[in-house]
Amino acid sequence: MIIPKFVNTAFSDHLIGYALLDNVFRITEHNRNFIKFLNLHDNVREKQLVEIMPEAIGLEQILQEMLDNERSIFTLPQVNRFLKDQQIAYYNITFYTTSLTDTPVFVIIYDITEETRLKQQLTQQKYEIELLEGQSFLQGRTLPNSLLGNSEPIRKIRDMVQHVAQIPKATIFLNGESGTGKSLVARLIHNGNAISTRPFVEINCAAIPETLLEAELFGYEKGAFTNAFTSKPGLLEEADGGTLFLDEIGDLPLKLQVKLLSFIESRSFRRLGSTKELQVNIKLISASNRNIIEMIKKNEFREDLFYRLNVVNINLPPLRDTGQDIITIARNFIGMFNIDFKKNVQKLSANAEQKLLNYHWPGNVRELRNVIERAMIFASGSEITSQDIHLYHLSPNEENATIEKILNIPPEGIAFEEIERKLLDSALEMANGNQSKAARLLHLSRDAFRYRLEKYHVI
Amino acid sequence: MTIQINRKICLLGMYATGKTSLIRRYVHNIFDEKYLSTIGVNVSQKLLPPLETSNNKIVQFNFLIWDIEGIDRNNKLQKNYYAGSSGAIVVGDLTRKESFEVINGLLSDFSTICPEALIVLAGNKKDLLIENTDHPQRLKELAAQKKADYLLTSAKTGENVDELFLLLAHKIKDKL
Repeated sequence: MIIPKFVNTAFSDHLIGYALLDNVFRITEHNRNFIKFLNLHDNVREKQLVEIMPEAIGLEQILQEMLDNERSIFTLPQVNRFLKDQQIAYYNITFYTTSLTDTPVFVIIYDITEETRLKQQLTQQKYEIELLEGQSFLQGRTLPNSLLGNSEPIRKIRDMVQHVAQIPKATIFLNGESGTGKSLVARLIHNGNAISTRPFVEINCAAIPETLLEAELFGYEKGAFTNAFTSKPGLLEEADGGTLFLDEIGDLPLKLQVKLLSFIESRSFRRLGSTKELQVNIKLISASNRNIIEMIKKNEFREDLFYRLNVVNINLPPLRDTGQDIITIARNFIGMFNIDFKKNVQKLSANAEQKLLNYHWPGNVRELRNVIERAMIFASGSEITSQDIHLYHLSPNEENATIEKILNIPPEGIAFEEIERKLLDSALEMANGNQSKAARLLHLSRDAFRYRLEKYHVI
Repeated sequence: MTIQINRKICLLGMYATGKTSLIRRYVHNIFDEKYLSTIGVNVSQKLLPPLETSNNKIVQFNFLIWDIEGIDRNNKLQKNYYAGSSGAIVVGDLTRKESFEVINGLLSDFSTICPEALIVLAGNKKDLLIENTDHPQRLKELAAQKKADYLLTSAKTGENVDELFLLLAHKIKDKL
């Protein structure tokens, strides 16, 4: 059938494409816009609609209802099509019934790109605002619940967190073994007060090379040193209005300790290569798993800085000192891994609980999580038994026995340097390549450790 | 002989739950951190691996995947997107409780239009899941209530994304 001229005139608008379908939904007629909107190049007459318009797949029943006069109109609003430049075009696709026997269905595609792009921008803004509001609400609501347990030390920490969270410029020092949740508590302190939508900037002083740490913390001006091609604000500036969390502060080099002390006293600093004094308003939280008092005695940490950092001291207890909290936390992990692994473990057996309570947990909560995760992988019933619980570290007595065994020199003798090299390798492996941590594992200073690495060409 | 079958499936869920990201990960194996809200619907295609039916036939689905914007339940035209669907993946965001609260309403509308369609639930953004939140538990309860399967997914890492679509494919295949 030839489309009457008046139809072509009526639909000559560049925003409308159309096609006529026969009673087996083949295209009999269409205008230029129809193939343009569908990104087609050839004439599509005689082709099945579903071949050229994937949106029509699944609509067979709807179209049949139109043929049977049970429905006269059907619209798919705002159908997206990606253009070559990755922009999106939007179309309303509407099917109408006609009174024509040969071409009972008429498809019109309306190009609504312009107004829909505007709608998209407005919707995007609205959703982004809602998401931001939701995030701050979520953090505020869920993080306090993350500090599980009802033991005296944990209740005391919760109390302290609530107090210090209210003080915008507080300086807090967190002390505790590795895996006791220092980073979590720092975030709790940050989120627990009115500045929770402000930045939380965390830096691990042991993870950044000494040479970069100063520039990272204080920022630098263009030309301050070789490769300083542009100016860059430091983490202090990024944390302005929020919280700066300096983890593993014990690894901060002495030179930087002086500069940090100066900043804490004046709350102002200068970028590297700048004479301009900058001021920031931050809550400063620092943390260490090392004995800072011992470090002060060995002149490895400045006493005056420690007293400035240690205005509020929160000592995080090792897991072994939290008694029944071990079981509370383990049950929480079981609930979490039940969902993750689609299991239905209901409880720990009495023996399993006792095994967890008897263990000394050198890796604290992090280790407990790993132990429960492993137990959940292999648990087959509704209960975790003591056989499912595999503990990685030896008890202190067993450790001493092992050291005795290592130190027994075999009759044929042993190469001392080989042992030393193996110790360096093992320590680096345990510390995931972090040299400061590895040095501490061997009770060596970082310099002494590095000297040995170079001596044995380990790095 | 492999029989190729076209099947339309819909991804439903509140805005910003990661429906578009799940599809982009599944179809193109890409992920973009930037959030771009979908307006209307975008249809993608993916040819799935061949599957064997219970009567030993080999079928291969070509999924027409309808990425549908966070639905306005009062807009009747938007429900036209559901017509002819064989299944739906309903996506919640594991970091937002409210994204699970709308699932019942969405499923009710969807099932009215497609009563025979099969449903799988997804808790997306697993990579951002904060320990001790009860959102996965809520997903589990919803799945039990609707007698649907569920998976925790991450469009960002790709975790369980292929499995999610394959899970729905297997359910559709079992009903052939």
